Amino acid sequence: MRVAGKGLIDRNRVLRFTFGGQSFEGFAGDSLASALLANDQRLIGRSFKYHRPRGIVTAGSEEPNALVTLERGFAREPNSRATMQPLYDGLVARPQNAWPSLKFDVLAVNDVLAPFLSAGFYYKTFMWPRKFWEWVYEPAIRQAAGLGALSKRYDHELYEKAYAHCDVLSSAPDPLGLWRL
Amino acid sequence: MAGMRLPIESHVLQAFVTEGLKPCIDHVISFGMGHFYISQSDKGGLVFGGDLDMYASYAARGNLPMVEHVAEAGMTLMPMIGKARMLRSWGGIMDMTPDGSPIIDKTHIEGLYLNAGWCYGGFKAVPASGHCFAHLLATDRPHSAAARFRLDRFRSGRGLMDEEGTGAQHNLH
Amino acid sequence: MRIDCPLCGTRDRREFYYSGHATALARPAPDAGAQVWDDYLHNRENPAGVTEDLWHHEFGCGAWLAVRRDTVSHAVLSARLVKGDQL
Repeated sequence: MRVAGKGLIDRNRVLRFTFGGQSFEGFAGDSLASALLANDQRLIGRSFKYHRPRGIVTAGSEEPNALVTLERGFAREPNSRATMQPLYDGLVARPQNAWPSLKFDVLAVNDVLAPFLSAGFYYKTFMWPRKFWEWVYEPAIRQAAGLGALSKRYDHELYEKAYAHCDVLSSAPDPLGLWRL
Repeated sequence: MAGMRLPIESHVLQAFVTEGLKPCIDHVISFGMGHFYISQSDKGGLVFGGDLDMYASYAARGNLPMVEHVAEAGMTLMPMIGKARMLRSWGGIMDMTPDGSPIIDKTHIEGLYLNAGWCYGGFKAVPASGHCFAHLLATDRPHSAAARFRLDRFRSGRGLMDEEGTGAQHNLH
Repeated sequence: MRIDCPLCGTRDRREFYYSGHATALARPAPDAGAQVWDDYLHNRENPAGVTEDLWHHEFGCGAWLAVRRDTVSHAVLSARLVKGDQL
């Protein structure tokens, strides 16, 4: 899909990345979105409620559809716009809000119901029986809501600030070498 | 409007919501030392906030120093939320009383009743406070559960309900 | 929010400690009675508009300032030093 000889990419530097477990190649200067488009990937995500297929619609920060989860080690950054992410070698991106896969998403069945559900239908539903709210409806709704997921594991990225604790803090010089034990 | 001065100062309390995320926090977590609370809405966004901005304000928005302070408290408590994006932030106007407890009482003006001064705890108390206030309006006597929320407790010094034990002073709650 | 300290210049709000309304400067006589003292300590005008507060330049020169500002727009209109014997 690329126009030969044009663009701001460096065709001499090939970068490898994965999206949804599949490996692709792009060039230095690509954004994740441009690299996906160059590899003919049109289906990037699913819509929030009805899980309709979604693809890239913009070239910048206003991108509403191409939201992916970026993974680096244990760190996971959900809801990242593919149009805003510069491609780097080893980039790992995963699609969001689709299970078991983007192409075959079980919850896309919601779209079958869409013509029968008016806007704001959820204000008048999920009310009976009462006990079902806490144990059936709400857990299901919470699980279906949201797009990306946070990683609950410790990430080893570098941060500017830390809230660190120690038992003894010494800021004095150490002529006897005591602290080198 | 009625020419009354009340023991209330209006301060601003900021609140924040992140973008929608898959369930990761299933109850309300309160971090006392950081003046921080967080929970997750059914739509997936993390709802969190912290302390007052600590100056009188009706602007319904706060200032950036408190945003940074709240974010620091949040990151201290659970670093994983650092990867989420803050989608919305706003400020609410908190009617603060000197001892941090509300006022449900009649005033010296005939027919004028007060249910105010809930500071930042009013939303949770709405059903009970409404019930007690209705009782006061209907019978002209306070409900037994709200009998201590008198307007004159600051003048008399009796019956102050000071949850932090810091005394009845405006900027300490 | 920035406050113009007369001694230090324009400083970030974080350098200051907010004490409360400038009515604290009008301290009543010790024998003024409970109602006057209650008004002084607790009751406030609390305007949605221009008000005058006391701010302490804690992380700066340590001066106490009476700051006129708008509580709706957060605009800081003026700041003057408060003389020591007034507190």
